[in-house]
Amino acid sequence: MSAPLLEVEGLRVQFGSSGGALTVVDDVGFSVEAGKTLGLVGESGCGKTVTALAVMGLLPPKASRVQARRLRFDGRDLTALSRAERRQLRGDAMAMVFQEPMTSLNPAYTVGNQIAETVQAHRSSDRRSAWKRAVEVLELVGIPDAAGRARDYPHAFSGGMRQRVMIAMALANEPRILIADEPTTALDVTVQAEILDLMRSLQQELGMAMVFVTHDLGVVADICHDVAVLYAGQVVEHAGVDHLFSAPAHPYTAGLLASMPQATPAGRPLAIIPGEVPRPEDQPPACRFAPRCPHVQARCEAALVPLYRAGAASSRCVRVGELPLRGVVSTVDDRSPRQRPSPLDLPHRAPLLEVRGLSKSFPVQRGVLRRTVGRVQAVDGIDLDIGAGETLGLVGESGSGKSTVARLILRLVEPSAGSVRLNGQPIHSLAAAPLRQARRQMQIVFQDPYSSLDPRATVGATVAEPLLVHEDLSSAEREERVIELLGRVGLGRHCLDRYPHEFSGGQRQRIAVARALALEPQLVVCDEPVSSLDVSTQSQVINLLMRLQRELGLSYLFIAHDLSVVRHISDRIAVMYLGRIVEVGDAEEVYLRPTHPYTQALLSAIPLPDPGAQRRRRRTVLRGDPPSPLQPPPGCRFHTRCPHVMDICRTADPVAVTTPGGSTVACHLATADAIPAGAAVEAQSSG
Amino acid sequence: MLAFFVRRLLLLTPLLILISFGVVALVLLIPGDPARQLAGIDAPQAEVTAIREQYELDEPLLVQYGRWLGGAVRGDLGSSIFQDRPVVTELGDRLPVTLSLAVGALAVMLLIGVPAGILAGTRPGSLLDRLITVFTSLSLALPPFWVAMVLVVLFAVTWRVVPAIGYVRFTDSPVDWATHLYLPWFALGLGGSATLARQVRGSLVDVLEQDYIRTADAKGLPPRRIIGKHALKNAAIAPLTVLGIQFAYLLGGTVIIEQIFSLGGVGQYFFVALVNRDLPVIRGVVVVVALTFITLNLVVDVLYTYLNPKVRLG
Amino acid sequence: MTSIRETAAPPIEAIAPYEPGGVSVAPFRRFGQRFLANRSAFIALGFLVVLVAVAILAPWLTPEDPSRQHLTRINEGPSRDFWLGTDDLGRDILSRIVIGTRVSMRVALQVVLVATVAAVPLGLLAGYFGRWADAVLMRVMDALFTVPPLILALAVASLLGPSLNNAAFAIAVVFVPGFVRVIRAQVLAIREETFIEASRSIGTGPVRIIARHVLPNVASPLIVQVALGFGYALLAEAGLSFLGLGAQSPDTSWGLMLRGAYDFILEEPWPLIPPGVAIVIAVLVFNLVGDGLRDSLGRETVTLGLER
Repeated sequence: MSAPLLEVEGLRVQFGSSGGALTVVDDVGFSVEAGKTLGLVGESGCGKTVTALAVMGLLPPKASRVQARRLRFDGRDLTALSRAERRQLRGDAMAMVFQEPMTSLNPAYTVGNQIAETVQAHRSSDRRSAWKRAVEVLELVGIPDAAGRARDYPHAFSGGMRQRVMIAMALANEPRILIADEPTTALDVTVQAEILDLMRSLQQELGMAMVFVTHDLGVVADICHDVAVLYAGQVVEHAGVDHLFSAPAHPYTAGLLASMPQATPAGRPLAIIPGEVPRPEDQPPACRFAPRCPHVQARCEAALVPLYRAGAASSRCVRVGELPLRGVVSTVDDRSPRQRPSPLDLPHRAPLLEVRGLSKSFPVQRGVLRRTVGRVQAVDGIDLDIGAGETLGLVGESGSGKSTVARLILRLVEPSAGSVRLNGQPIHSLAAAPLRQARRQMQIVFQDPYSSLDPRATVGATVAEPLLVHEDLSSAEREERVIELLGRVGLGRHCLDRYPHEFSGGQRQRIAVARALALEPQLVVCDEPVSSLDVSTQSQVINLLMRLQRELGLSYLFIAHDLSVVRHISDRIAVMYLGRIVEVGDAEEVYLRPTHPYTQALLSAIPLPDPGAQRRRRRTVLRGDPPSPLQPPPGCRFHTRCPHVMDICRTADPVAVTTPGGSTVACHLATADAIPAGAAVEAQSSG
Repeated sequence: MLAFFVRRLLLLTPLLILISFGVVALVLLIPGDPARQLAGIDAPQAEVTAIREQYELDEPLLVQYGRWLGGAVRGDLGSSIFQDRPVVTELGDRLPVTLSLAVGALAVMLLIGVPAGILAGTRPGSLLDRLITVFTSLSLALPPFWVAMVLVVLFAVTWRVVPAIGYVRFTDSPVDWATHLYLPWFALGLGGSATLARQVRGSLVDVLEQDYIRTADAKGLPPRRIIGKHALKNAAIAPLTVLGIQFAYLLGGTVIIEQIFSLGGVGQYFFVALVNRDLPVIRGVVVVVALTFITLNLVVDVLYTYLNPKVRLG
Repeated sequence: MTSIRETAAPPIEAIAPYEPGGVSVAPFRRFGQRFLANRSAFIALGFLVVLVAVAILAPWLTPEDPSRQHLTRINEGPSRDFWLGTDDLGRDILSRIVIGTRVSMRVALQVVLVATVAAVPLGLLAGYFGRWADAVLMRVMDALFTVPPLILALAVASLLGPSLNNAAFAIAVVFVPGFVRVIRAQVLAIREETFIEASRSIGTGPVRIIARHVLPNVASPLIVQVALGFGYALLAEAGLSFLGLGAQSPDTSWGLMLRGAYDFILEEPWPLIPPGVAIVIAVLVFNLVGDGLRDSLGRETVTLGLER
């Protein structure tokens, strides 16, 4: 066993002046060996990024204070180095990749220039050889036509390609350690799978150590060897990846694993961790997890908790060893039937929502004269049905048009063609006044709970607005209704006079749900309602939505990019790609026996929260980025990335057909009934 | 590049029509009988009638517009009511003076504003930053013409290091040209330098918080290079886009500054016309200044494409 | 597919509803706290109160009749009789400064009021309803922008005829394009916010959305703009009066006082100082209050069409 390349012990980071210093990272320790990957995992506000920046020496020297009992890299004491010496390490032996590929490259210089600059900063090489090296690393990270693309500016690259450029830049001087801060969080899941594969293979090739900061347990299972779990600025558990997933030693780790949708049979309430991550200014004094811990005892709140050894792991829990914590024990799927049959299965029942041939194209304007140079076909002739009390999940990656579908159904955006009927009422052709009336029956919950609430309106006013517009109530009656609505979503009456900024993301989303319910709608469109929330808060909101559906008989159109969340809450799932629906069917059927190659790829790109299964799994990794919706490919829109592409796919649009499993699929393979028998099984065998 | 210019010019057509129409419509602002007002209260009736006929003041506005525009496109902006010289000739004679003043003031503005902005923006919250903030706040509150008068009292009257008033042509004596302009340049450029310093500071503070600056830091680049290469080019974009507007303010300021220093440029010509309500001159000056502004903005646009590669494609 | 301990966490129903702790802080209160923490803005606010008081109480504050001439004591420096000296007609400068405060503040108020009243509906119209109204309005604003503000104001004031009210109107005209742009830009940004979409999805009509959601969110940048506008209006009024196109004798304003002082600049420079300092202080006060407002209004970033 080699000596660790990076050793961190007792790391503490404080922000602000000495008087009101805020301790954001407190007693964090971990170590990484060459050739190994350490995951730093935790929810937002736990100090992961700050830890990574502190190790790199990237925190602003004036506003922050970094202390450590031990901070050694390659045998050198980093705390003893001058700022100039730290700088010589950065970009050379220690490199970093950031979360936001869209903003992390300087828009004013070509990517080749920016990579060559890194080389020249640390090697005494002339411009030509530095440029040569830039092209070399761009090739290494799989940028096609690297020599030509090196002369392009960052805006000419897609998000995934930019992240490759960032990786290339980090690798330019063959670093000994690469610190990656959520490098795939901003990317689509299929692109994420590619980047993860790339990073893994580069690591093996170059033998470097990696620190991988992420909130996604699936990503941890996929790429990490060791894991340090952070909670409220502390490492609460440090263990090997298999050990961590099979036998978590800290209740927080166990809680995180349990709250993943994959951990609970579809349709049942998810396990949750109550409450929220405390802010740095109001940390509990002893065990910081105690207020949220299901196993809390008096002694947990008595004294500071050190990191205990527990076999091969360490855990910051006084009850370590005595708790029956269990992790992911099996990946064998329970194929238990759905708890209730889809209402659509009942014969002779008209659907609540009927969408036919719905299309939307946006003009694309260029230049100073704003001439229309083309049209983006954001949504291209889709059909959907949602029955009363049913949940239809709509899945797709960014640019697939799923959010436009939500707005079209509510007619927040005017459709270019097609019809939307709610209870038979033609929403698409209503005049302004009846449309406003019709909106009582359909409501929406948006993705971003920060921008969907008016910052200048109280919570009470926000929830009361629908009642003010549509119902003639006295103010006392209205207030009573608002309190009742807030109660339904788990908020007390004292929230009435508060402003949105006083609430956390999860609480804001509850307020948005209360507003959506005020008029007792039949249909609620949920546009990525949980994707901006942390794992533990996400499960709370999902449970809330499922409970409300049960209590009020709501129908949901549930839009998300995360198939495992959608599968959990939905009766049926529709999969969108570039403005079209490629597959729609019963949730379990789509999830377990996907027919369309895109659905298969999407499913296999989701990393499983189980390292063993993730390693065994053979994945369909898509090559390349989704094409621009401005120039969708002819024929089947997926053919440019499809692993099973045939000649006919390039010219002819596939017609939707029904599979033996009852799904509707638009794919030539399904038409020809020539789908490789193993494909479906392979995609799910691990999933 | 050529296509870019052609498109830009096409886009300007409605703007030019609006401006020219607005300039002609200025006549509507004159209360009562325009001819009587323009001639002067004490002018004999014959003169009033003559002015009414000469400037076709009883014609419909559109007819007046047509005639004015017809002249303007041929380079004829009419003649002053009170002196018989054509407006265009006068402007041609006086423009070098005003440009000497405005361009010099622009230089003062850049020479003070840019370094001050960079010094403050790279160390926000420091003592230097606060001192520069005091300087900019104060400079923005100073009326330029008051600064001019105080400078005259100090440098020309008390210490006698520069002449108080007058203008010498550059071609006659570059040294005298400059000594006559030091005070006007400074008086006119001071306020602009404060605005510019604030914009540069704000823009730099914003840019230094961008992710790509952290990337540059993570590459191990020295701070000097991070600011010099990665920050300044991006930070220049915002101040540059308003540099045209800044120059317009300078041009506006020339009216008072030329008056105080008796420079005899377009500003002073305009001032005399204002006092006499010399409509053709007022129209001419407004239109020429507007055209200068538009031309400058075209230049700014070209510089902008250099700084922002995204625009080059579009 | 994966199983987990059953007792991992209590179901949501078992949890008491969330009640926020502490004291509620309205956005306005939050702004107030931040503003008061800004020392220079706070001091400037104190000065502003004094300025306004002087402007209101001017006729009762003057040591003597501001138009009374002491022809034997012209262009004097400060003395016990005349604290700030006398002007070219032997009038008490202090009294004239005090009366001038009233005139300058009144003009600034007029300018800002007229400009705001004109610009708010135009900005809302252009920003919220867009399309052709926006296109036409913004082209007109662009055209107005091509003429330097001072030149436009001078031209308008000259043609209307020299008077203080005409000068105020002329300066207001110059302000409108800047105000409209700020309001329009803010409305455009607010219109894209999801909470507007949320309100539309409820079935709220446009008038109600503008009144309840757009206006309150446009208010803060507008307030900043107005505060900074005061300073600019004061400077512009001084400039116009200095050139003889603003206040007319026997009225007095700081700019007009400078005009008088200018004629004797070679013999006696002292009368230049008091009105100049008065202008600088007043403008500085408005600018500092404006800057303080901008910094403490938080999330709204304000771009100014007329910083000077």
